[in-house]
Amino acid sequence: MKTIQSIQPKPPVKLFLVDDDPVFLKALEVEFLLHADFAIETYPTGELCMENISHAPDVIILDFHLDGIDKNAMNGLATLDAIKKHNPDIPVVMLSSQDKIEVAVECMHHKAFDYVVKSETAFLRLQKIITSIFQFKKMEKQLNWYMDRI
Amino acid sequence: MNTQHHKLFIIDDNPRLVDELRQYLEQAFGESLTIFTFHSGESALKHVDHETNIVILDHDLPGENGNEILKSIKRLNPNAEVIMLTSNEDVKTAIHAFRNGASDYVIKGEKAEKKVGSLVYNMLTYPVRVINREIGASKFFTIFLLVFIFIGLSVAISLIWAMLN
Repeated sequence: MKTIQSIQPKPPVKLFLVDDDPVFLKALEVEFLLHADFAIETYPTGELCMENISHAPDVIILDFHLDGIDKNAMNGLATLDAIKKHNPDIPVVMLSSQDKIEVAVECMHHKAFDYVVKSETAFLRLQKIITSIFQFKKMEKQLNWYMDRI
Repeated sequence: MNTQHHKLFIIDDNPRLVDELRQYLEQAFGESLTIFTFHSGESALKHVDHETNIVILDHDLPGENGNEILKSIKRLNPNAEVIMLTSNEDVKTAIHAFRNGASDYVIKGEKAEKKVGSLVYNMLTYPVRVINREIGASKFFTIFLLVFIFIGLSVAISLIWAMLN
């Protein structure tokens, strides 16, 4: 007997943008909404990001200097650690205004997926990285499928 | 420190740096390390095997670059710990190195030797530290436990061998 399956539209990619700079945060949100179908949630602090982590984001874009305005706020690395503790599979891309190799290396040690320096081309890099995250996840799924059969 | 011998490769096209780093590591770790040096990635790859524990690898090498050599090393021995030691301060290069499985990325300079030394020390003592953390035992107890397990296993294997013969 044939069954007709309803083809449900693919849900949009859920993106968390976390930055204490409201202007940069808004600009990034607008760029993402203009260029692709994303469900975006924006948060000005790491604490708020963690309070809403149950919304299951597909990717998180996280500022390194989250304690720039409020010195007592959770910084980017502490937020990254908290995210990874909650779910190590959520890819986190770190954003920073510093083009310092030490900062990038530190972020990678804390299991960031990538590190992007804030600039005019940052959005394009983020878009490329998000594409590569999904290609990577697809490859991982295929590999697991083959491994299960082996 | 773990008394087991570890195989360490230094791959860099600067012979002076290779000699200095080799001397530093030999002084710091003595017989714990057996050090091999290479001036190109291709010559080193011929010698990488499952017993190669640690590799210190330059990025800007003649022929294939460090990231390509890193990938080949990881294909030959996924468990090898690779420390990139380079003057290349490009963030993208560093991120690629981590993606390809590098354990760390150190910029050449005054403090580079010490940094590499502390990373090597951490790598050599890692099994002891894991057991310490997991069972909360002291270092001496952990070493004793490891030796005890090793001797126990050796006796068991020799008994089985004797029974089979």
